Amino acid sequence: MSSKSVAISLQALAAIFGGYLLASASTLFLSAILPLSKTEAVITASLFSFVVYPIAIIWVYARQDVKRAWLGMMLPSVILIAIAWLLTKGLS
Amino acid sequence: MQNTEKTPFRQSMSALHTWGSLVAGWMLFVIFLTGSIGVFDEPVSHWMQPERAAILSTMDYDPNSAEDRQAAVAKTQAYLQKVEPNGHLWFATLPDLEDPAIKLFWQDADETPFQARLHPDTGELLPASMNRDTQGGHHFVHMHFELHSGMLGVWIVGFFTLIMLVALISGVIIHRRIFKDFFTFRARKGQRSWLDAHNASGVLTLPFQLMIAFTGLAVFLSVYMPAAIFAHYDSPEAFFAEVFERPAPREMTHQPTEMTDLSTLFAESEQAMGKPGQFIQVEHPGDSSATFTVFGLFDADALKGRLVLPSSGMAEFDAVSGEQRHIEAPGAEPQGAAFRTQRAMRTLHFANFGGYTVRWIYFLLGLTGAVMIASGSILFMVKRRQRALNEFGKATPRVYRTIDILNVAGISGLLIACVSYLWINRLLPLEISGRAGWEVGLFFAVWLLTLLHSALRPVNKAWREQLLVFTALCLLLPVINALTVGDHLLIYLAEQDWRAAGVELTVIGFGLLALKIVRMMAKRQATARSEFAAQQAGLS
Amino acid sequence: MTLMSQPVLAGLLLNTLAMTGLSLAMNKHHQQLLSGALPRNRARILRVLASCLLLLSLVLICNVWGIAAGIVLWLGLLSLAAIISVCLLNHLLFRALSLLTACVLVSVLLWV
Repeated sequence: MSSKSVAISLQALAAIFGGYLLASASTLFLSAILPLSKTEAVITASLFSFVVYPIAIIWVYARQDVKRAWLGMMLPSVILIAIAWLLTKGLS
Repeated sequence: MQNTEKTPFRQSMSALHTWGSLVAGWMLFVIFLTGSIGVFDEPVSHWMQPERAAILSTMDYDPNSAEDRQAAVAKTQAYLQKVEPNGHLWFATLPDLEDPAIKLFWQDADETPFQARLHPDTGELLPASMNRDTQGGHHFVHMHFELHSGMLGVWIVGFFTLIMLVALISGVIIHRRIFKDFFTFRARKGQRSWLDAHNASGVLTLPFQLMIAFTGLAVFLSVYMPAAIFAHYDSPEAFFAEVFERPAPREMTHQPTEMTDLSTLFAESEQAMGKPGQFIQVEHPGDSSATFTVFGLFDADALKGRLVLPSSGMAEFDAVSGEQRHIEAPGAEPQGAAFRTQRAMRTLHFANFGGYTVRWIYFLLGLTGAVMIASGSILFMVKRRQRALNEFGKATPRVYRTIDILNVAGISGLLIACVSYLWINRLLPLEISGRAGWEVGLFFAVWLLTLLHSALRPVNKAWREQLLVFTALCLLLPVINALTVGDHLLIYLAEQDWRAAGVELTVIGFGLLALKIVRMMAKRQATARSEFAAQQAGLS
Repeated sequence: MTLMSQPVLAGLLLNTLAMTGLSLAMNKHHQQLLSGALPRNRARILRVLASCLLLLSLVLICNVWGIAAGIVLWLGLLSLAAIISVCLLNHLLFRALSLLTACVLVSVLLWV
């Protein structure tokens, strides 16, 4: 495989899987911090993920830079998941 | 498009839109076309089961009689007790004035699904001569949301819906003249016309396309985005039980126990709900954890104009002791702003908030979406036939050819397969076992044939021939209907059977439109040829 | 015809009129249809009239269907109306589509 097709594949993977990870992370984070009843927070956060995901994909493709794309998906995801975990499991 | 400055952002969005849509286009066309037909699943089913009328005119069963309904529940229990006493689930829909059969659905212990239809009076399996075994219009609905392949299909459709959202957003970003070109369509200008058609169909119906894609994802909220549910609940079932304020389903105990008489419980449930029951369900029949649930009649007419549908009423019993576990009064509204929003999105996607008025609007807007997708895929190749861009180096001609083949089979081929499904329904003998499955199988077989055809023929001829076949199949549908069943448009109109007449009229309309397109294509090719000849003459 | 579908058909007609008015308020389409440049005053009048028609159809529909479902329906009709007015601007295509529309309309009228 040429380096160009590797880059294209890595970018697509960042968009599809990185984007899904970020959407899931934002859902976990929101469902942990929203001051609503548990079911309401979960539904709101899950619905919101369908806004986050397409925007994340657009963002990945906005800059043709694969490294940045992966970093931009992974770093916020890790931070959001960590905070969500601390709020739901860690503090109780 | 050329000669204008393009920022790097716009350039990358343009590439994303072009290539993302190319890959997703064929699948999205399937989802949009079958979804649009699917809004009329009920009239299509009605057209596909002419035998219903014979039962309706001879049966003693009266859907408005509580006694008859109770008897139907007893017949259901007797039949399923015989066939699947220890399955995973029983489900039955009681007869109504549209479909007179007792419709059974059940799963064996391994959750393999089965279906059967019983005569409302005898409780016996309907004989083949009275029962055209078919999925009817539901076939289109199932193609639309799961491609007849279960959870995997739901995921595939969800993935492409997401690409649809991305394509819509990137499409708006790269389209610089949205308002200037708002009403623009320049006919008979080749590539220009395809671009105009693509832009106009997309821009003019953008609110609908965004809404239908987003609500489509929201319908399967817990499937596509289960992260928060798993973080806060032991299982999705526990989440649903809390959301719907219903008792959580019970674990199977594997202790065989005899169930009580369900028809008595059914009568009790109708008393408690204060309205007729329409659906019944037994979870874990024959197990000591068996649960019997009755759902109240869904009255679509009374709910017109409401996006957040209130409960139709339900009652749940322990199927062994007969003890009432839960009751939900009809008219109870879902609570909580987020949950109400999600329920409203469901209603919006299913188009069941305003009868046929709303369904027609969805049908037309959905088809416009299909036109947007198809014109985009065609535009991709029209552009490259003018001037090859050699994106794939040496392999470019082969890739272009493949795209052409898939365009023809994906667009005109699917159209042929859809109308063929109606033909198959009339031509397939009634006695074949597993007939409904055969209908769907033959639908795919026809589609595969169109792929073979488009692979063997030059692309222009393939388009022309497939559209002509489609035209013929559409225009001759009333003929084959008359020859096989003895029904046709004029009889439907005379009998004021508007649903069946509407199905045939719409199919004929499609046929006429396809014929018009074929003639426009022929004209255009003739002009192109004469222009080419004039050019040659001028050169020599 | 049911009471609820009447304002929808009326709304579709009003929206189509309004959308056609809005397209005529653009120089390009004004020339295309009426040949002749578009006086500035006429553009303004067309826009105001079109807005009034759009508002009227919105009120009509919401009156019967309620605000939430009404707005959804109105938006859907707006899209359909825009498509119809695009077809009107291109009378050639319009003739092709009129066959289909006639079939659809006949069944709608019989059906609802």
